Amino acid sequence: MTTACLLFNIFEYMAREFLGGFELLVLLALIRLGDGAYGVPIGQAIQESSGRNVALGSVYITLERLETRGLVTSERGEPTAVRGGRAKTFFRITAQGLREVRQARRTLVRLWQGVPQLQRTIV
Amino acid sequence: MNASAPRVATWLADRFLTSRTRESLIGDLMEQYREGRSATWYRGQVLRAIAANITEDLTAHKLLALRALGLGTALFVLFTIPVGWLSMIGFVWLANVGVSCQQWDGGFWCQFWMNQFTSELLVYAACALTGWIVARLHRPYGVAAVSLFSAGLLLWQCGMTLFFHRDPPPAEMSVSLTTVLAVSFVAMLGRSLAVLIGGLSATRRRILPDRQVLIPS
Repeated sequence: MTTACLLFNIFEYMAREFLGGFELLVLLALIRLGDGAYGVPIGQAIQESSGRNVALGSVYITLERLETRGLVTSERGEPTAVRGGRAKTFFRITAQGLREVRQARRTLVRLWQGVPQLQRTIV
Repeated sequence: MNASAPRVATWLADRFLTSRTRESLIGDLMEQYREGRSATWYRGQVLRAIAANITEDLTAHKLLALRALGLGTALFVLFTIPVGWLSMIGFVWLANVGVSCQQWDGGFWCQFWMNQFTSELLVYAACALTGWIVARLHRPYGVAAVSLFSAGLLLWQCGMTLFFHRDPPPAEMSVSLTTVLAVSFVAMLGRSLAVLIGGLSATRRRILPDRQVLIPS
């Protein structure tokens, strides 16, 4: 049973080794926004660039996952009345997060090159 | 500028969201709502956040999810089937010895055994106990575990009901198949809801230390 659990965890880790599409979008939004990035501006940045509705819940779930992997750090702000006494959580990308984004970019560019169907559609 | 955010949706978010950033997420939604977003938008965001939270917990802990399903099913069988049998045995025994509600003058115990609704209430109580145990044994992922079991139970019961009622009822019965299925569905929904309520009562809300009570101006 223990061996099965261990193998299961290894497979799960391997499956999560690469950045997912939405994870990459969140990290790029974080880089663009710099300091003071929290849920609302991150969601808006993704929404404006992708043209799709973004659920704030998905943004936070993704940020938590990225924090667990050490790609972002968080810091709690002061609670305010307009937010019902609830504090903001500010996020910042880590050096490891930046490395992952660069790696993802390199991988995507390499895959992009030499594919005529994709090159014609680039504006 | 909107006044206070929809209360039911905020309560649901407080109860169902288990993520570390729950307080910040609800704060963000309140901020957006006060800046002019509609109540429908707010409710939609809460529901999507709950769905995302549960899905994340279940996909990240697949073995726990499987255990919750297995344990929940075992407990459901262990608790609800004997309750149903006991009610039925009591009902049949009373009918055999010639006891009816007229003889008892419609007393409480007569109603207790003779009324099907009361026996269904016992089943609901057993379901709530099942949900409570499942949530308690799967903390801190109790909400996800009990939601999965509740949904699984509903699907399983729907399948069983459709299987057992695949033939139309005999002609001498005055009820139609649609009525039978509708009544069964309401009962099944009630059981799944009871599981969910029992589970939620076992998952206490975590109040974060920096949460303050501030009155909006």
